[in-house]
Amino acid sequence: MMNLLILQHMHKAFHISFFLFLVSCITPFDPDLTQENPKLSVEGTVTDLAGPYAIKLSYSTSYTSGDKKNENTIRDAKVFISDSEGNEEELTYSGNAGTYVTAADGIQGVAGRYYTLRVELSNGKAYESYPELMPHAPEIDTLYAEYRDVTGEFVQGEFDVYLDATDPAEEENYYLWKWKHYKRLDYCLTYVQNFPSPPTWYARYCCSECFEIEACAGCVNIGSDALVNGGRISRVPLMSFEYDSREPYYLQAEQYSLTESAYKFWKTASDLINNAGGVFDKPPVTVKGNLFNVSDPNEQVLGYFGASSVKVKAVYFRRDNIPSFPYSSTPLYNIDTRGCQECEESIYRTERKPSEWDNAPTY
Amino acid sequence: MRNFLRALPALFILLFCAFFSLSAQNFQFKGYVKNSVTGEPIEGANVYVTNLSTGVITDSTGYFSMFLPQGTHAVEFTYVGFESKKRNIALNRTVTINMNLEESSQLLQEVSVSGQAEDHNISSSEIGVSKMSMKTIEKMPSFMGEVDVMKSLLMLPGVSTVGEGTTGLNVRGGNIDQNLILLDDAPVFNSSHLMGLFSVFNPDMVRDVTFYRGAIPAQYGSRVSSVLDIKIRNPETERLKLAGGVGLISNRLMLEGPIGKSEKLSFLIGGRASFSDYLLKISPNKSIQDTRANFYDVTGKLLYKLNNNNKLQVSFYRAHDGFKLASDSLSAVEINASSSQFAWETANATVRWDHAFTDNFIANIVGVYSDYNAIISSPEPTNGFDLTSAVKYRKLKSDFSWFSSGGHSVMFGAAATKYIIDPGHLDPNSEQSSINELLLQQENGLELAGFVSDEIVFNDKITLMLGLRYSYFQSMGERNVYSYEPNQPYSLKTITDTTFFSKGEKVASYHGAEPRFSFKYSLNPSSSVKLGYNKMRQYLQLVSNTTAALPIDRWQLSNTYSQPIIADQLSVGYFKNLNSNEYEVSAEVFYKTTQNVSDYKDGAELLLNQALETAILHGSGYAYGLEFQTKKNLGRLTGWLSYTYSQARQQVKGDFEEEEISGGEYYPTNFNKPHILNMSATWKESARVNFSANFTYSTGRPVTYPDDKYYVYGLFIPNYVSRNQYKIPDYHRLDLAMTVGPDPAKQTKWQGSWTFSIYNVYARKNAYSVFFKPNNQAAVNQANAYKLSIFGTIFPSITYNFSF
Repeated sequence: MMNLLILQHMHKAFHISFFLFLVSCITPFDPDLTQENPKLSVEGTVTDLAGPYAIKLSYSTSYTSGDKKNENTIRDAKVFISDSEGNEEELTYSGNAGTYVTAADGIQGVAGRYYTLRVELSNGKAYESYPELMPHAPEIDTLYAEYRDVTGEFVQGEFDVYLDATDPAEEENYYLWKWKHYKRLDYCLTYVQNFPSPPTWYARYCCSECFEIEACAGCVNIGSDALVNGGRISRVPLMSFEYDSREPYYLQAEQYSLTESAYKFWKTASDLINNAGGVFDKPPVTVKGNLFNVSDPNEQVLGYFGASSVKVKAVYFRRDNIPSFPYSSTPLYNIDTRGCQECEESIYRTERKPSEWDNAPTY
Repeated sequence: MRNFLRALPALFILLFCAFFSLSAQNFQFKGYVKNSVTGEPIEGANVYVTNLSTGVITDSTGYFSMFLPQGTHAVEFTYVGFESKKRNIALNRTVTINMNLEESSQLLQEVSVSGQAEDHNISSSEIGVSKMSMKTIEKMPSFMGEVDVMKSLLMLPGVSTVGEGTTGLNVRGGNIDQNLILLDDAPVFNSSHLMGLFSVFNPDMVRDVTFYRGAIPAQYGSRVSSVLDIKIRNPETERLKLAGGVGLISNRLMLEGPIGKSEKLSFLIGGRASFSDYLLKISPNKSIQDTRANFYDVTGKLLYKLNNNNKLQVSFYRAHDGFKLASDSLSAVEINASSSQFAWETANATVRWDHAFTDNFIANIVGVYSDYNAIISSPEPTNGFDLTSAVKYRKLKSDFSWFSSGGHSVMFGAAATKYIIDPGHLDPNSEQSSINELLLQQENGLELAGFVSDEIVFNDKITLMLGLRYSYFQSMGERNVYSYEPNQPYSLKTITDTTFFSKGEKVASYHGAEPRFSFKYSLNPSSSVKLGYNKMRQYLQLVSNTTAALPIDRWQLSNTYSQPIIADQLSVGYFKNLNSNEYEVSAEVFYKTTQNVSDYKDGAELLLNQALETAILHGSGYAYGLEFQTKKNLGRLTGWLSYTYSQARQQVKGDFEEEEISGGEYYPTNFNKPHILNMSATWKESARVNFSANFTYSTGRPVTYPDDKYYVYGLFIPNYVSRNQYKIPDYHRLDLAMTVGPDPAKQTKWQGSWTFSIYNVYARKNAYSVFFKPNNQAAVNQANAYKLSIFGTIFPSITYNFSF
């Protein structure tokens, strides 16, 4: 796996670098793409964690259009999730971003069951997913970080985080890994005043305990046990963080099980994003989803309806055993004493304390 | 159409037998035509019997032979660029003549656009054949002053490339691995230095270039689209001569002359090396300054003329390309690796013995040795590795030519070729390296072929060339072959069994007839129509799923799962000469079908794949086109104008969705460029000064653009539906050159000449590729399209050549 990855990169580096020294120039270009009919695209995964689960519906847009991420969403569809045990639930529209959600006490994902998504649009067209198995996911065994010295102008060093898990012997397993880093916020608002010069930084305290959530949007970290079936999945590179403090670093890792077709969806999608269409790139491919139009099998439906069992592991990494000093560029704040700032619940902030938060090592 | 093409072979074997009877006897008139100064044989000289209105063309050794009735005949020897000579021959027995022709010094006659006899194009049965002399190629404007055999072919009709600076040629809808490139009978697996910028052939060493793209003669086989036959020139036998050249990219040096007192043994050796690193060092970009790109090549020939009937020659060729990337140029493309090195190397040698049994029965035996090696290596301690691959080619062949009375020129011969391919060996190059060793199975193959052909001149109107080649290929052990579950796509998961074949054991075999045929009918002395057909089989192919190939791409032999490529081509042409051969006009139409062409599964990884059949798909293709050319051969202005309209399509249909491309429909090939217009012109200003200009226009190559995009799971995903339905912007370019030769009035020993060349005169930013770059700002995603131009400016260059 590692070998191939390096070679692919080398292959690409080879010619990219090669043409650097030629007098090359890059100019904007209008490819004059024909406008295609918008196609339904679907995002959403049922997991065996507690609900609610969300399904997002939108239409595709022309490749060079500058549409906002939440434009072209579909707000008036009927969305149903059913499982192989006969349970079915109609989702309700959440009110924003084309997102439909299950009820808090609604359908609950269970590993080993099949899940099917059904979408009925207001124009009368109906779409379904092929039944998607929720494969079992093994537990994450260990998470560990290794320090790497990167002496540079604004960075002292980095920790690379790796994940190990035990792969079940019998079946073929496919994985998707995600991570979340939580950090307690002291200030819920920071701002800068440029006048009078020099600029002054101000910060306002949070009204309640508030956590900042950091994750990697758009990262696709997948793997299969093709080469290690029944053995240990070891040294999966999960993420890297900077040595910017001696405080312990909190990280939550999530291990999702994938079906083979979901793995292929992620694999082709991530390959495509890195394929620029040059003469030394492979021909681009169609990313195949798992949805179809009930009455017209030739209609292309985009996206993927997933079902994953998820195992979560939260750990602290110590940062007290590095001989050199950390480097941080946080400015000095003047405290804005005019009240406090609310901690607004979002994908970036939460008031809910993450699991294992209180088990921080002390040193 | 396809059924017709398949029925042709049978029809044609019948014809072959019918015409193979010889008619009544005459006296033989034969001999050699040579350059009076250099002693080089002149190939393609016209030996014309004026009173009988008949004639022949000399072969590659300058030899000609014909049978004429008893009596006195007026014979004229002509060759473009040389003074014609007339002789009266009294024929009452076999007459042998050695004719030395002098190079024409007259201004208006010194032309060599085609390098062929003046009306060869209409009088021979050849169709789809172009011959270029080095004189023509040297006068063409060149990129960075490097005279380039391969790029000059791009000016011919029916030849295209996926982009400037990429390696290889696409001939009449064929992929780049479908061209047989021979340098003195040895195949050249990589025809470019620096990945496609310059050709690997040292211009000082080449005599001429013959390019077959239709009705390929029976003595050639093993590639389906074209044959590019490049001959190293013969050494001078009179005195030691040193010559060389200094250019921006490479410098050349050449030495030739006799060995010892006699003129029997002579040698030629020439080298070329790039010293272009200084161009990188002056770059403002640090990572480019640390990049290294170098090449060299050495070409040589040893010629031993034992006597009039025996000639032995040894040719050798070695080419090396080395490329080192600085570590920060790698990080510029987001790769964490220290500096890495790439190198590829060709080593060829040919031994050839020419023997004349009798005056009209000659033979040769040729032994060929050819090795191609490529290596990628990374010295980084933790991920250090060497990845090596190699193609080894050994061939023994013998050809016989027999010129009989009654207008028959018969050739027959046999060849045996052994192929050994090491597709890849990944080797950790240090103790600490985390790379696992991986050795791909060696591929072994043996190709046997035999052929016979007869060119029959019935009268001055009809000439027929019939040829039949039969080839047999077997893939051999030592090898493991996987078996797969029936009714399932081949994948590593559907492997059911592994069969071991011991060393030399037959793994799979293929064989078949490859008929060749061409027919000329002269409408009148200045025009003719021709018909040509050829079937070709190819047992070796390049495995590459990028638009342009890389020198490190993998070669594969036919095996249990990969069948040989088979192509059928039919071409029809009309040829007319005007104003006493001053102008040549031709129009050719071709239709070609190809079976078992390769394409690849979506996203397949080929480089270190241990079971390539799980990644390769097989399809079929067709191509058709019209090639129109007007040439001016005489006068101060010479050159040609050609226009090609062609289409090439490919189809990959499978039993499973993942085994289909573009939904199983026909799609344009990566190099489908429907319209190509080329102009190449030379103006002879004086005996010393020539001006030349090349202009080329072509439709942009096909490209796949996304139909639309969608946003899911935090990713903007482009949606590609059908392959190659768009095209990049059209390409056009003008190049100019001026050559200043030595003063012909001064007969000094030191002779120098200057070449000034300007590439891309009006600095057009031609699209090399079009790519998209997502603009991932917070709420908006706009994928912007950009055009990359790699030679988007004017490239002047200057070269100095000398001889002493």
